[in-house]
Amino acid sequence: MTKLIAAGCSNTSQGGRSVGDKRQRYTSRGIITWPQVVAERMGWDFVNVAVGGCDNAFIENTIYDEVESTPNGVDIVVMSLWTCPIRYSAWGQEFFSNIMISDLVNDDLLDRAYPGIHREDWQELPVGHFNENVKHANWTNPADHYRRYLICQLFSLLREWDYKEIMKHSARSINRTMNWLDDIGIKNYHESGLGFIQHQPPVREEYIAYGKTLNMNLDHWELGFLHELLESELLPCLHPNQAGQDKIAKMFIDKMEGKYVPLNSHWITANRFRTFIYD
Amino acid sequence: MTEKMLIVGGCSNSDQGHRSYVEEGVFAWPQLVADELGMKLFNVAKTGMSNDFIENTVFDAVMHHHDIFDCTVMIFWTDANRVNVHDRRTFWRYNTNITDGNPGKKEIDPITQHADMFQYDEIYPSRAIDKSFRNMRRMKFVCDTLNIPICQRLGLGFVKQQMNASERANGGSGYHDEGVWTGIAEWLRAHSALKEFDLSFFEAMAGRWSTESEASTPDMRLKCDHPNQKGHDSIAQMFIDTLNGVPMKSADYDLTGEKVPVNTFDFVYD
Repeated sequence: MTKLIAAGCSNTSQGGRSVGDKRQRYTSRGIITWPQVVAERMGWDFVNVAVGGCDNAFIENTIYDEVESTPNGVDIVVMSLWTCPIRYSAWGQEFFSNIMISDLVNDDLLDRAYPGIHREDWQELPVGHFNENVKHANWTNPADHYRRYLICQLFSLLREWDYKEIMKHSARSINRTMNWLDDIGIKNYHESGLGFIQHQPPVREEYIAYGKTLNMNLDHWELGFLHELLESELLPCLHPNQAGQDKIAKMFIDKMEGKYVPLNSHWITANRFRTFIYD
Repeated sequence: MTEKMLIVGGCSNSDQGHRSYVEEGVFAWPQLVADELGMKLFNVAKTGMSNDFIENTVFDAVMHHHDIFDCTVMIFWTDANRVNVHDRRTFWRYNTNITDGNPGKKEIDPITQHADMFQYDEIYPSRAIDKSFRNMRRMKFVCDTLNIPICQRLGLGFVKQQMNASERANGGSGYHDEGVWTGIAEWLRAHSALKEFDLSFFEAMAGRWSTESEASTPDMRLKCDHPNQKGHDSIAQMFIDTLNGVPMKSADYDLTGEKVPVNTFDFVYD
């Protein structure tokens, strides 16, 4: 029997570690994520190695490990819904989302994520500020405090960076995975769930042009396939609901069957941008 | 006839631009090997970087040059505990109960400042070590696929430096005494990757160039503990021998750290 290996971030992962875990967003609502939808329609076994909040290097590694650990002779198909490039994982164990806040980001959103902290103050804040002085209901343990501190540090560090290098880092993971799977004769299908220029600095056109040079074989690398979903296909947190998951599943099946026609609606204007909420 | 190119990846032990080599006039091993083998050198090693960075830069170099040159790849891997954010900024430690041990180093490192990350966030060194083995495995696959010879050796090892630093920081107590690092070392001793990559347990623990291994003897070190010219000469010979299939000697390794072999001639051939 064919085994589907599905990889990605929270748009693909079925659930979290425990009841009440925010990553239970699908299971608690009776939503089946697209890997299972695809597997059931195709009559395949499947394994879903997606983890919410992860970065593209982590996705590359999970695919690699799962393929490596699959016994010879098993017919494997890999499908991956890649994530946005502004994430980073430490030792493949700790994930940091939104590691770059561009000037385009709404201050209201910033205040929701990091209440009471002003962007211009981040670089100057000591660790103690996060351990002792910031009291918020959702900051339940020192690790959470620290995570936010580290993210803030990274924000400031990123000011000196070229966003092109961040794009290249993810593109390498995607391309390397595709090439490797092709080389060893495993069918593989890919799409970007979240886009490469979703959180980009102001000079958008420059990064679109650069992204094209990276030769990512993805139809929706700019904004991600989720931008093709209608409001009615999304949960309040902007993750796909069942209709959205079904649409992603159909996209992958269509790609596999050579029927997929990229939508033309992913043109880029300011009002098409959604700021993803990492609930 | 296609020109030969040696592609080298690594950290400061392979980076000709490291300040100490420049100041002391040391020729790092990559240039020595390239000269010996009559190859053009493309050295992407960079001081302080992680194994992810090493894999990525060597991968890029191979992709860029493999259809132009007759390539050979040599990699001197670094610590497993380093991480780079998008191939740039390095963070150094997962065990934050330790200090750097180098009073001259003032770089602010958010990870080392947080004392409880290990406990609260359940960072497992064994997983980080597996991540480095994956770096090696994937790099070998790429090279094998392209028929490019590849030599991989561990410069710093994956455990001993962290174990010793933890001990220093805790005054003899802490993770080492609680058996955490000892357990990791036992796990590493039985790891299938040692056979897969022809590594002795000593090399996996302490690396073939590590100040913590006591194998890089003082006559081979600069003041900053990086290899001096004699050290680089020996590392160069080690890579040439690896390329030629000369078997590395293997030493037993006592987990207490008491019986680390000290042999001025065999430091790279534990």
